[in-house]
Amino acid sequence: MNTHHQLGDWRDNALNFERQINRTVIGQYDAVRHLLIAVFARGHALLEGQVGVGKTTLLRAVAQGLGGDYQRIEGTIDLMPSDLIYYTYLNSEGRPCVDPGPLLKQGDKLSIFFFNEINRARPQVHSLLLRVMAERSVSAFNRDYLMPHVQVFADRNRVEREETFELPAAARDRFMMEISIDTPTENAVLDALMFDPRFHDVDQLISTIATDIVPYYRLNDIAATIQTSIQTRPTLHKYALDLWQASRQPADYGIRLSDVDMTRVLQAGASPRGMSFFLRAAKVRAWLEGRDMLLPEDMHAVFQVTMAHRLFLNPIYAYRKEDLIPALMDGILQAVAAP
Amino acid sequence: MNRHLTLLLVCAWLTACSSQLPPPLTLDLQTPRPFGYVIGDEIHHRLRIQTRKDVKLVQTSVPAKGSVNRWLELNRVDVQSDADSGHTVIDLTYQVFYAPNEVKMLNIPSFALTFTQAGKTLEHPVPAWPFTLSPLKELAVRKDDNGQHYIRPDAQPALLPTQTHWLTLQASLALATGIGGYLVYRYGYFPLLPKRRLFKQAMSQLKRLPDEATEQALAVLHHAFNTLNGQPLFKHTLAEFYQRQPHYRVITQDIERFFDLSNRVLFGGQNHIERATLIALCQQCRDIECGKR
Amino acid sequence: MRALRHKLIWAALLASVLLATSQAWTIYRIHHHNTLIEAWLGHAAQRDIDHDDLRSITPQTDAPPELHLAQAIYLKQHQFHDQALAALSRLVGQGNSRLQSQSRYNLGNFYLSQAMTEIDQGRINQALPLLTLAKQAYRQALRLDTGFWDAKYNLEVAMALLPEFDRISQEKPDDDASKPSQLWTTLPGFPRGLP
Repeated sequence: MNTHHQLGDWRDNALNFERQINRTVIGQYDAVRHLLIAVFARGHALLEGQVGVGKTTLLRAVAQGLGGDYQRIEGTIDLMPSDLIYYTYLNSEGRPCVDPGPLLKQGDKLSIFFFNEINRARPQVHSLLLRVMAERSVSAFNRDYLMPHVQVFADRNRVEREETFELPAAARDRFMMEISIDTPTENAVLDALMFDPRFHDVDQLISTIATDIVPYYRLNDIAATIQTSIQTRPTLHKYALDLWQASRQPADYGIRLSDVDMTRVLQAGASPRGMSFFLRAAKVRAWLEGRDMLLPEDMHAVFQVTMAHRLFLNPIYAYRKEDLIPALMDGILQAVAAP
Repeated sequence: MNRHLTLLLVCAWLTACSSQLPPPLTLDLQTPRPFGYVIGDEIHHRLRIQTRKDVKLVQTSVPAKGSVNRWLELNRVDVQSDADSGHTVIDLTYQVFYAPNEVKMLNIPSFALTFTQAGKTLEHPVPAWPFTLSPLKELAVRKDDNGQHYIRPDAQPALLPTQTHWLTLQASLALATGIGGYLVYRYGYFPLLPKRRLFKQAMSQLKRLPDEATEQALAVLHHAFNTLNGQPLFKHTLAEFYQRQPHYRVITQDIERFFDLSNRVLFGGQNHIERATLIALCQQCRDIECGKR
Repeated sequence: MRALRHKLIWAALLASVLLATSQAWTIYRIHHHNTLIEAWLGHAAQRDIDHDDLRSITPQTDAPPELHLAQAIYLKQHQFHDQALAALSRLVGQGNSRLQSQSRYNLGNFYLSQAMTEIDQGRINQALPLLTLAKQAYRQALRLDTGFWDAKYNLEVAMALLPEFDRISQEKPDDDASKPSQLWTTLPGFPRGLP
């Protein structure tokens, strides 16, 4: 009963938080909802979109709402793992000094680590990030630093491909979601974005979000409570299993795409970690909908965003990725019946 | 001398004027050939009369229908006048009942038509019309084989026609077969068209399932809906389903209740449902499948 | 809307089935009537109906007039004169104009042959009204159907047996307008054929 109340209150907070973000970054309702789910499922998110659509603003808004500390680093081709951990300089007295880098500076108060243009960084940086994402800790100065509340948000520019490093499959798999952010299409939103002075000063805009709606240090507890309080029934387990199988062997479920050999289309299907992320996100979605049971519709709501980046096409079909992956996702949902 | 001349001029002018006026009426009797008629034949006469506008035909002066004389009858009289043009057409149909012994000249008698013009009456004669009538049989009496007078035998009635009835029968049978076939299709009795039998089969399965088989009962209905939809149907995809199957819109509320119930049972742990509600929904869907609703 | 359409479809099915049934029944009746007509006319082999039946069957008053006409022909052929006359009289005013004309013609034939029988037996006075009736009947038949050649021929035969003289027509044609009955007189003159 107590838990129930607590969850209800938190849900109100979460929805309030969502409303505030939607006032700050307008016209991105789906992306905001997905980010909210990622926050409460304690998953890392990779944002992908065009230049200037508000990816950074969105992430800053989320960080502001969560409170806690926020660090940001720009991915560049010469960025090395050590640049994240420490930096050296000569102090005013001419002595060499070593200070903790962005990852370590805030210690366990770090709540959001924002990696801009992640695809510009080298694989070495990626591998460091893998550990941070997976274990929420990093080794430096002969000891482990724990960052229990950290959540990594990365963004990736869809336009440029030069001087970029494709994220390795292992790195992508550790992101719970790959959220695609597009330019809003509603005319009213576009008009406001162009003419409303509110959107000119980003710092001012971000500061309107209350900092204590969803305190970052309680997120882990809440996330665990959500995961345990949402019920799942055997029927749903069966359905999730079917979805998983279908995402590995689409041909067995009668999924057909034009000009594609379905037995060879996938190099790798969803990983167990991916499925776990998927169901965690689905449970959070059920909680946000005010339910205490997980329904197939919750799974549908997060299926695309949590699974699309985990399916690896056979190289001969890779050039059609933009078309094939969404079609394949739809095909899976349409091929598997819940009851 | 001068006065005489003036008088002469006036007279000449008057005659010139009157000659320019059209005659008060002209009458043209159009007749057929005047020979080759036999007893019982009809003769059509047409009178075309052109009058000035102020001249009116007295209708009673047109011969009346009926016997003209002993052997001549006027069967039809048809007068058509056009008041604007002063044109009148009178159609007269006579029938002759004269039995001549040899070719005989007869006359359709003349009569006079009366017209009024500004209070005055004037008569115009229609001339008699002579024609010849021929006999059908020879003068001598013909006897048949039995020594009786030869006469033409009795007229035999034609057999009653059945053609239209046959046509109607065939048409109505074809129509009945067509409609019957359509209804059979609608009700899903063609084994080769499974999409029309979805809820029929679901219904029979539902009725066979034991009471405690709640999840199977739901699954049966879900299967029917999924098949109808062509892909799995969930509550949040109902809008697309209604676009594909608009007829099911009438039971939107029932379908949504079913999905809520199904969610509670299959994913929420509720384990008792009224089988009757499922059967009622299935029946409604079956009715829609049949086209009853 | 859809429910109404569905009901209409059922109604149409019912209506078409009813129509088909009624048509089948009508065809059966017509077939029955036609067999009877053919039997009376002596066309068909009278397997189904024997002679006594043919005589005693009386078509119902609402039966098609063709039936009465065929019966009248049969009765007349078999010398049941009174019944034939009764059958023919029932027909007056019934059926289409062709059938009416036929029935008048047959009535004329009936009177004409009666009159001839009387003449053969020398009973001229009895023959006169019959001939008048025959002529009347033929004239009516011809009025209904001007192309009825048999009626024309027989009317001419009847007229030859009972010529009509037009006393005045040669002198003053204009007087023809007055009533024919006052104008003409009948003079029986029966040619007995060529010697």
